[in-house]
Amino acid sequence: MKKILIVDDHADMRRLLAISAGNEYEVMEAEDGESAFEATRRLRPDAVLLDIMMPGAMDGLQVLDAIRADPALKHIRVAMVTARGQATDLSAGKDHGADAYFVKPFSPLKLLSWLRTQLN
Amino acid sequence: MTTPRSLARLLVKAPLPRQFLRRPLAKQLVWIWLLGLSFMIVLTTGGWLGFQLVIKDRLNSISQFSVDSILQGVQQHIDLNLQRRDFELQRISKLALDTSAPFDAQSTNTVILRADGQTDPRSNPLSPAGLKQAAAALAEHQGQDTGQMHISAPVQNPQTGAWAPQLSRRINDADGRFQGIVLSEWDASEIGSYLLGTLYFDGGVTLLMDLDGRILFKASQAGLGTSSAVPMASLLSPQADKDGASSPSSYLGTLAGIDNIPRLFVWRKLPHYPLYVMKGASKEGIDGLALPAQKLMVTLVLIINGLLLIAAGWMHFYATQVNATLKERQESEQALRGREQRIDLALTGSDSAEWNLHLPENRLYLSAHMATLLGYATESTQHDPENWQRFVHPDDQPKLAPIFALRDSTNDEALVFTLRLRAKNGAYRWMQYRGRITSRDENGKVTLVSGLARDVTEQQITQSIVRDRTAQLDVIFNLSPDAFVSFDHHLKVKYANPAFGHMTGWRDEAIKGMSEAQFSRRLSQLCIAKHPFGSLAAMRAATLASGSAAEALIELNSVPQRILRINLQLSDAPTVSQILYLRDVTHETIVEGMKTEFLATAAHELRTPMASIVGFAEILCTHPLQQAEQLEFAEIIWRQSLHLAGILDELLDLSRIEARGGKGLLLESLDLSAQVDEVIKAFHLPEGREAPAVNLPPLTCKADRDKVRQVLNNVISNAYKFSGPGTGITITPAKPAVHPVSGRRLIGLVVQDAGIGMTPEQLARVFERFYRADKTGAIPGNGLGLSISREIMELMGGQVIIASTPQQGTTVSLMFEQFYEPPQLLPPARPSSLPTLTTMA
Repeated sequence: MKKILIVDDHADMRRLLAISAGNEYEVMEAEDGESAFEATRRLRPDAVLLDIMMPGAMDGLQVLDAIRADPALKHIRVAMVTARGQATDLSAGKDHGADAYFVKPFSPLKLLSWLRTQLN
Repeated sequence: MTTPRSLARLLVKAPLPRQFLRRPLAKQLVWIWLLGLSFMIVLTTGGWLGFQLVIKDRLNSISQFSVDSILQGVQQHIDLNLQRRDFELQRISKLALDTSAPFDAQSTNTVILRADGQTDPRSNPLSPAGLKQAAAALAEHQGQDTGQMHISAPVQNPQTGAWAPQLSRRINDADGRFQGIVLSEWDASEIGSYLLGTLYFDGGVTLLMDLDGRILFKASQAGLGTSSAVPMASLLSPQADKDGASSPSSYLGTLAGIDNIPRLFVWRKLPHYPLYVMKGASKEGIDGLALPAQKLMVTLVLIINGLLLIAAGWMHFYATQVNATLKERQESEQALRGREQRIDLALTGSDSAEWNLHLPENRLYLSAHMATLLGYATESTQHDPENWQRFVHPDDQPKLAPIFALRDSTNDEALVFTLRLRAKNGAYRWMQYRGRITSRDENGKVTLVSGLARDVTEQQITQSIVRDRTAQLDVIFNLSPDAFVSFDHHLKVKYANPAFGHMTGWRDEAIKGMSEAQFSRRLSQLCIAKHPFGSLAAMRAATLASGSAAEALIELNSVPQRILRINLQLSDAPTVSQILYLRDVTHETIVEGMKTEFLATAAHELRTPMASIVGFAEILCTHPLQQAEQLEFAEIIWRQSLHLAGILDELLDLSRIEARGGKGLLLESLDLSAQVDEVIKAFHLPEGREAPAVNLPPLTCKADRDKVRQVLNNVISNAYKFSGPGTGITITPAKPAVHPVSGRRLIGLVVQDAGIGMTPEQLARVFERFYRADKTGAIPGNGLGLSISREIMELMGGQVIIASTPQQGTTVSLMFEQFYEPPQLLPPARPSSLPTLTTMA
């Protein structure tokens, strides 16, 4: 079963994302950027759902940079799931190497459909 | 080198009468030369005539004189001869009686005639004419006895042609009886040789004639000789005397019988003898005599003519000089008059008037124009300074004192004083008097000050307008909170207002004259990289390209942060080429930044619950779920919706407060303790918790009732949220303080809890919007409460101060402005000693 890492500082959001991912994937969670990156390196998920605004030293974009910088983690699909919805934010995400960008509130069905597309 | 004019001055002036000199020059010269020439002609003519008359007369008298002298000589000669002959005759007469006595008749040329008429044989022979004459003499002597020698008329010798008179004497015997005569013929040529010696005129002639004019002897240069007679009868003047002196007579011309040469003949009768002596001087001779005199006369005439010419020339020259001088004087007078006229016109045209102040007499002379300028009747006035002073505006009177003190002034600088003078219509006009000290007496005291006065009312008005305007502009520029820097046409800094110095830390003196490039360099040095400054040249190019003033945002490298919005305006004005405007937009920018940040944060805070609501709602609708799950998800939706609603409420509240500022607040005097009680009463205590312990005295503060409750609610709610069960909340009075900005006295209360407290990092961010110390969501809240509370407190002039120790608790101090009763206005106490004022008439 493919693994998905969910990163968000809100508990409810993590729950929602987990539900959205459905039963098809194994779901792992992280609360902040540093533990997210750590988990990514250790657990090698196939996809990461990444919030941007999180407390701590690393925010979502920095985690994305770290993942992309690591050749071992190249294959991992990363989607930003964030309240930042400006055009500049979207292009920033793209520039940092995100594979997808979901603006909150998002449709869980659409998210699932993306996951399926990427991982199946 | 003396000019002719001064030469004329050196010479004696020609005595030309004034009237004469007034005539036109041509006429004068004509007159002078006419007179001169007439004089010369008259002189020459007179001289010539005079010469003719006088000289001739002189010559005449010379001739007369010479004749007289000849006459005398001849007279004497004849007398002498006759005397000798007489003596001889007497001797011979004695001898004659004795017929035997011999005598030399030839050498004596003597003839004796006896009484009977017979010639004594001893005598010379006589010519027949002579014999005839002798016979007549015999008869004459016979008739009488004169005892004298008789002289007869001359008898001509037929051989020699010489004339000789006969000299005879009576011979008496011892008894006195007539015995005959003794006779001798005297050759007149004897006289002739004498006469020859008297010739001293060239071509002159001397004659000896008898009374009938028969020439007895003629002597001339040509030689001796006798000839015919001179027509004496026609020559003899009627007044000729026979005896003694005869009046001089002369004849100028040719005399027939002499020769054809015209001569001046002068004759005289010998006083005792019947003879005429005549001298004839030829014209050449006379002329020759006249020549020196003539030369003299000519010389004299020439000299005098020359003098006359010089005199005429002199007068001519003098007249021309005088004329030229007069003309010059006339012209300069005209020029002077013209100039005077022009000056008058210029003065009138420029509204100026002359003035002179005579200091010893203290008389002020003002030209007529001054009166005109002030609207009074035109008259040149001499004013006493005191009189003039009455026209001067009272405020300007002090300016007059130094004018009268000029008497002792020692410097010669130009004087300017500007006074208001009262015009006829009562209004005051500004007059500017400009002048100099123009004369001092021998002690150096000022005697005369002169100058021009001008009406400068308009200029004064303009100047005061300009001054006011400048003052106004100065105030505006100096007080303007916006900064600006102006550049002249060489793109050098011309002016920077004080605000610029405050904004950038530059001082004005360092800036003025800076070139644009220097200025740009320095300004960019002051900016940080985030908002750099390029250059003025670039801004100018941008302005020209875009057609509107180029704007930029720069940030200075300063603490605190300073952000300036600058724009460059170009100008066509003659003195300013461009102006750089700077406005401190730090606050606005920060606020903008904060707003943006807030919006971003708000968006985030709103979106997060929304994401849960939408997401879970979709899952509920699309996924088949267990009932427990369904319930769970519905509950999440509910919870998040409420949270969202709370955020929205507070956001709206915040925006309302921000929009209204302090306007929405109804400040009144409130008793804080009463409010606290009210709030606690309405407060929904969490389960298992006690109400706060309140220990407050009455605190009257200035606040808005509703807002105070809102704040109290928020603070108390927080206290409960962040403390656990078993701990209490206390509300106690706060120490009075002073507001750091307004300086007003603050009073308030302190809400203390014994809860989890905050770390210093958390404490630093506690007032941030949406900041929640607890991110987990375990403690409800949206992070807006405290920021709203602080906003409210500050709007009411108060403060919120939070202190906290982790794990020990937090204290929140709420400070309010103390409420003061506005002071009542009491009527002023009237001191009894003051007199009542009466208005002065």
